[in-house]
Amino acid sequence: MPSIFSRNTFQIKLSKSSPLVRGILYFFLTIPLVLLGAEIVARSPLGNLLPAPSVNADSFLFDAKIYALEGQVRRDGGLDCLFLGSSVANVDIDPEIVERVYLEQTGEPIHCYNLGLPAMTIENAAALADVAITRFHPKVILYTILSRDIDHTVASADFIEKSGWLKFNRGKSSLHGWLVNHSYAWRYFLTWRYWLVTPNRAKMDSETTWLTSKGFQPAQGINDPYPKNQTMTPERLTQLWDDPGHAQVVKDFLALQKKDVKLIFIEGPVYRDPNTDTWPAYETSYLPPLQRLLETGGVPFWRTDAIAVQIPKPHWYDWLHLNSQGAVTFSQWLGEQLVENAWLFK
Amino acid sequence: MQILSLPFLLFAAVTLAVYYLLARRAQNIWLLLASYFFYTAISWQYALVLLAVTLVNFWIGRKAASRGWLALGVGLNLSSFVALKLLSGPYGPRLLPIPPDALGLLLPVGFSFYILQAISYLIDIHNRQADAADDLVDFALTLSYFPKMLAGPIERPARFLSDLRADRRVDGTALARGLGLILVGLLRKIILADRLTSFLPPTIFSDPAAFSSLDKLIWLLVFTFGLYNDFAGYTSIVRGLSALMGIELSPNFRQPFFANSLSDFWTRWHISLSFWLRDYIFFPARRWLMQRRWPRLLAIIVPPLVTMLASGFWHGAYASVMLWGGLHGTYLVLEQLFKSKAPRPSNRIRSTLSVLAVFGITTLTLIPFAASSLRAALEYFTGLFAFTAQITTTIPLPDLLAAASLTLWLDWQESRHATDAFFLKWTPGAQAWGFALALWLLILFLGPQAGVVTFVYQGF
Repeated sequence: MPSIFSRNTFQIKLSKSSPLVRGILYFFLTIPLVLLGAEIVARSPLGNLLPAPSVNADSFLFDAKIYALEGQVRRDGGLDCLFLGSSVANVDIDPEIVERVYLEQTGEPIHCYNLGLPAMTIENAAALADVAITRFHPKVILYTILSRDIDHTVASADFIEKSGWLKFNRGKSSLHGWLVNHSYAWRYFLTWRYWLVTPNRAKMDSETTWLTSKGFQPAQGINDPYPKNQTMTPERLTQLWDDPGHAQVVKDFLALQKKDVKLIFIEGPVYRDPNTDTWPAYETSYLPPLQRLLETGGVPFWRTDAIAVQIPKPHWYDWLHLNSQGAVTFSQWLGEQLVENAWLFK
Repeated sequence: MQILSLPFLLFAAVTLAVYYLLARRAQNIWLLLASYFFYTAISWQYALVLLAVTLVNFWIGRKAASRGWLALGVGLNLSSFVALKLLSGPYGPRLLPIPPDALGLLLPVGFSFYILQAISYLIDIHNRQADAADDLVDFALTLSYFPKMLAGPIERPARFLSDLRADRRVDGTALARGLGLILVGLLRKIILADRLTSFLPPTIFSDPAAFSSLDKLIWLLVFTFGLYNDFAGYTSIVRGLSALMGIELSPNFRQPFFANSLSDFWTRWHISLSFWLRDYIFFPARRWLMQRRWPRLLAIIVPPLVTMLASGFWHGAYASVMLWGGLHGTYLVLEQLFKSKAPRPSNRIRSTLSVLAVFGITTLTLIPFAASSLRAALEYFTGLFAFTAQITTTIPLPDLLAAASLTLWLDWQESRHATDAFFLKWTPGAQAWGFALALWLLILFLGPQAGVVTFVYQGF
């Protein structure tokens, strides 16, 4: 009876010289070359000609800011001040002006970076600051706070906490997290894949419009008509601290001081429209509990009401954000504040 | 289980590993089991339909020498095909009062492909061009062989059965050829077809009025290149996979964009279907008409029209795709009528112009093929010639130019070396570097458009 088994079909004898084996070999040999090439490109001026290598957070603004910050820290050898906050920090603070004012008035150079991101809450910022302290060792973190930052339900930038980059840096090991933190080739690969999805291309352009090498993204002109102030209504401000979780997120942020970094809270500058009924609630319900929390935590709070009223309406993009002209005034003021508090960098 | 998926990769690897250990007869049984497993994984109801078609045709095939049994067999196959096509098409709800969603499921995946093979099996037996299969396993495998199950190629059972009776040998060259064809197919599908398709505005063929002439022209070209690479990619993958088993599947494409006449085009585009239609509709129809001593003009006009209308119906029982078939039939008639009797000396310019003209005509004729209705097709066509130059959509020009260049380069290589396994004609060094580069390209392009893993022709 014939056997059902036979070895007649499979007659493959591969030698080292066969094109197939050589092809596989070439493929594996090119891997280190590609990795090395990506590292060289990312760390040289060539990197500025390419889209930023991604950390796969589904925000190209975040990718671009992290890449620029890495380059700056590598170049300057350290980071003195890191600005954090939501879109207000993103569009209001030009680190270049802050550095210039500080240099002019003290003769000492400082190196600052703006890592503000639209929609970021204090909870998001705490996670990001935690990693930024580990990776970039800033001497001071200046957090620009708005009432909306405390209420995570308004809007948030949770993509930051979900990113492999952040998770890995906070101790959650994964191959992807390791690659994102150690290989520019992998990050360029992620950028490439992000770019391949057609709608992302427009997003990549729009998210990084006007972005400077210091992470400042000035708003242009005036947003006319101003959108209605929905996050700072008297009702919201009055009820803000009713939820004990809101105080806790501030305390969590303040706990970062244990990691050998100084913290400063800056009041997010807001256009002081006399026609709204926001201010009584703002001054009596929102600010005092915040100031008490910061005082207890030993963190200075810099109020901006005085400078905000000096900035004319045409220099505001909307009631909450300064435009490029307003940002100059505000950044100069911030530089002067740092000059007055030069002990921060000692 | 989709062909471009991890489960299919595992399935194919296990199937191949066991296959290589078996003797020929056991290999056929194993492949049959694997094929039914594959089909059952898609739908067990579809597998039952295939089993029924197999048993009926095997039984009738033994008696198909008689005209009555042939008529019964072809009638059963053809009527079930026509009925399922009609019911699963846009007119289905008018014919059968069941929900439209359920009607769409009536046509089993791959039915249009294996039913034609069953018909040709019976006709070939009747015409004494083939013997009836004496082995149910081999015959069942002929219809169900999993690499060609979903979208062809449409094999001739006589040839395929004879391949199944022969011992197979897979050596280093067969391995290189098989893997190379799979790689080329993946490049066509993933880098070209899926990329191009992902750019297409979703409503371009259903609501063409919203787009300018230039938009319509560009997106029509994108659709053309996308469709071609999708189907050619599929064919290359399954031919490569089958080559790894030592079983040759027919080619389906031979650089269709290089065709210099419309009849030449149909020897290059979906060849296995074109040749099936030629052998079982066109030739018999022409013979029948010529035997009748009717005006010769009828023998020139009717067969191409009937053949191409049948081709249209095979693609779908709806008006716009029938128009596509009818137009192609008309072109073939006109070409036949106005063909120069005297052979012309070969001329590079004339040849290039012919190629461009055929490309232009076949591409324009794809409008009804792509459109969702006759109205949309006409709207697209008239809008195309309104000559509005502004572009209303985002055109990723570098991507499109790169995709077109790579498509034409692949076709040029196939044409130059007269085989789709053109890479085997390269020097060993070039083959090795080509292999490495193809792997890099696949890694770069694999994945971002999740969900685009089916092939267009699976829908027929």
